[in-house]
Amino acid sequence: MAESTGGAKEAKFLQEINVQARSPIHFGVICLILCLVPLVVSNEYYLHVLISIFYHIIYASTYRFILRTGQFHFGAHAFIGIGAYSSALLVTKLGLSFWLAMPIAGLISATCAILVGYPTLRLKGIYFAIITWGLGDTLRFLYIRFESLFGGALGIFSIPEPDSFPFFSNIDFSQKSHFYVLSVLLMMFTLYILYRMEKSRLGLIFGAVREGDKLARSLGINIMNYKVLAFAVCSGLAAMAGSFYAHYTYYISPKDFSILLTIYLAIYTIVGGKENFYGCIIGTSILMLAGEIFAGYAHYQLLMYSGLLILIILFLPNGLVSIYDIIGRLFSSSAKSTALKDA
Amino acid sequence: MEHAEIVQNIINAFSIGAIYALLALGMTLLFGIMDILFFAHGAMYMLGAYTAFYLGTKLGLSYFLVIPLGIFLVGILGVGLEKALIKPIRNDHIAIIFLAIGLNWFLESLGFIVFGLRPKPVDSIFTGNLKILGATISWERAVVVIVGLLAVCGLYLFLMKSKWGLGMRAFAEDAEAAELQGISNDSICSLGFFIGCGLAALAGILVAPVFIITPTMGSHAVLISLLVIGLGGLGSIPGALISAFIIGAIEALGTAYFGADVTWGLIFIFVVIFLAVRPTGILGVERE
Repeated sequence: MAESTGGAKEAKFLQEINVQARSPIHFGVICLILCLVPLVVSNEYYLHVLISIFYHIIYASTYRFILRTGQFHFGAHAFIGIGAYSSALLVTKLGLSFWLAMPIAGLISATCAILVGYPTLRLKGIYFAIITWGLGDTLRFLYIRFESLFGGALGIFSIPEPDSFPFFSNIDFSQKSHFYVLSVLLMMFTLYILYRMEKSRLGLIFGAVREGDKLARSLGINIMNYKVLAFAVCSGLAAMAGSFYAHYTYYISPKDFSILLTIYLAIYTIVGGKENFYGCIIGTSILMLAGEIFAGYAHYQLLMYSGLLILIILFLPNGLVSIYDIIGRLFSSSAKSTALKDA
Repeated sequence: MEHAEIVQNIINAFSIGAIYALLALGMTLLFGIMDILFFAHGAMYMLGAYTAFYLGTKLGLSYFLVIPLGIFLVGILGVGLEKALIKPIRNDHIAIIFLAIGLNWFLESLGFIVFGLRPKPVDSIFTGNLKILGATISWERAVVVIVGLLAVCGLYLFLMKSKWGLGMRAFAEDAEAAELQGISNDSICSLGFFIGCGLAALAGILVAPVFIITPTMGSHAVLISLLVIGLGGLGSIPGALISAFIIGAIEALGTAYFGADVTWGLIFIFVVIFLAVRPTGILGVERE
C-alpha cells in the first residue's frame, strides 16, 4: 500500500519536472530544419564544417554527461577510438554492413566501459582520470603494436562509405549532403537520449551523486550502478559517433585518438558551460567555427582554445551560456531602476 | 639468467624509477599540501629541459650554473602563475584542474611556436660509463639517480624538520586554523608552487641529456607522474618513491623480456588492478 502511494508520488513529481522538459516534437522539428539545410547550402566545405561540428557535439555532450556524474573523464578518446576501430574492422575485415557495424561498435564500447567502469568508478575522482587516460594511451600502443590487425601507426585505409540507406536506395553516400543528414540524425538521437536521461529520475540521481556521494548512498541509491550505466551509455553513443567518423573520413590512425581529443572536448564543454545542457553544444559550435580560422595551424588553434579556457574559468565560471543570463539580469535590473525613477 | 644480467636489470629498474620519482615529486607535493592536481607540471618539466638547452648548450653556461638558474626561473614562473591564475579560484578544485589542463596545453602549444618542432639535443658533461658488479650504467643516468634520491630525501626532510615544512603540513591539515596561528596561506601556496615547479624544472634539466627534448615531452610526463602518485597514494612522498621504483622495475623487466610497447600495457594493468583492490594506493590515506 505504502509502496504504491510512494510510486504515485514519484510519478507525479517526475511529471512536474517533465513539464519543463521539451517534448520529442521539439527535437523532431529541429532535426527536420537541420536536415533541410543542404537544400540551401550546397558548398561542400560548409557542409563538411557542419558535419564535423555535429559529431563533435556528440562527443562533447556525452563527455559532459560523464562529467556531470562527478567523474573526471580523461578517456573519451579511448572509447571513441574503440568505436571507430571496431566499426572499421567489422566492415573491412568481416564485410559487415555499416548499419550493423555502427550499433555493434557502440555495444563493444559500452561493454568495455562497463568492464573498466566497475572496478574504477568506485574510486574517487582523480583515480578515474588516471585510469581512463592510461586506457586511452594503452589502446594507442596496441593499435600501433598489432600491425596486421589494426594497421599499425599508419592506421586503416579505404574504409568504405556506408552502403545505401535501408529502404532509400537513392541515398548512397556519394555526396556530402547524405553524410550531413546522417550526422544530423545521429546527433539528434544522441541529444534526445541524453536530454531524457538528464530530465528524468536518472538526472536527479546524478545531481544527488555529484552533490553528496555519501548522502545519496545513505538514501538507498545504488550509486555504482547508475554511474556505470551513465558511463556505458555515453561511451556507447560516443563510439557510434566515432564509427560515423571512420566511415566519413575513410581513414583512421592511432593519432586521431590521442589525449588531445579529450582535451579539446573538455575545452568545448567548459567554455560552453558544463552546468547547462546547451552549454557544450554552444561551446563546440562557436569554438569549432572560430577554429576554422586557424585551420592548418594546429598549434595556434590549441593556443587560442586553451587560452580561452583559462580566461573563461577565471572570469565566466559558468561558461558562454551564462552570458545570456547576465544580459537578461542587466536588462531586468535596468528596467527596475527606470521603474524606480518613474515612481 | 646470468648474474650480470640480473644486476643490469636491477640497475635499469633503479634508474628508471629514480627518473619517475623525480618527475612525480613536485606534483605529489602540490597535491599533498594544497589538494591541487597541477597538470601544468608537465609544461614546467618541458620548460626546465628547454632552459637547459638554451642556457647550457646555446649560451654555453656551465651545467652546474644551469641547474640552480633553471630551477629559479621556472619556480618564479610557477609562483607568478599561482598568484595570477590559481589564487582567485583556490577553493574550487574542479576549476583548478581544468585551469591547469588549459595551462599545460597553452604552454605546450606556445612551446611549439617559440621553440619549434625539431627535437633539440642537450650535451651532457657527464660522459662515460660506470661499472657496478659487472653491469653498466651511463654516468648521466647515474647522476639522475643520485640527484633524484637526494631531492626526495631533501624534500622529505624539509617537510618534516624545517619550520616552513611544519607550516606547510599545518596548512594541509587545516588552512583556516593555520592562518589563525599566523601561518600565511598566501606564502605557503607561493612556496609550494616554487618548490613544486622548481622540482619539475630540476627533473627536466637532469633528464634533458638522457632523452631528446620536444615540446610534447610534458604531456607524457604528466601521465607518468599521475600513474606514479596514484599508485603511491595521492600526496604521499614515500609512497611516490616506492611506486616509482615498482613502475621502474616493471618497465625495466618488461622491456627486457616482452618489448617496450607491451610494457606500457603491463604497467597500466598493474596500476588498475592494484587500485581496484586498494583504492588509496600504497601509502595513501582516505581523505574527503
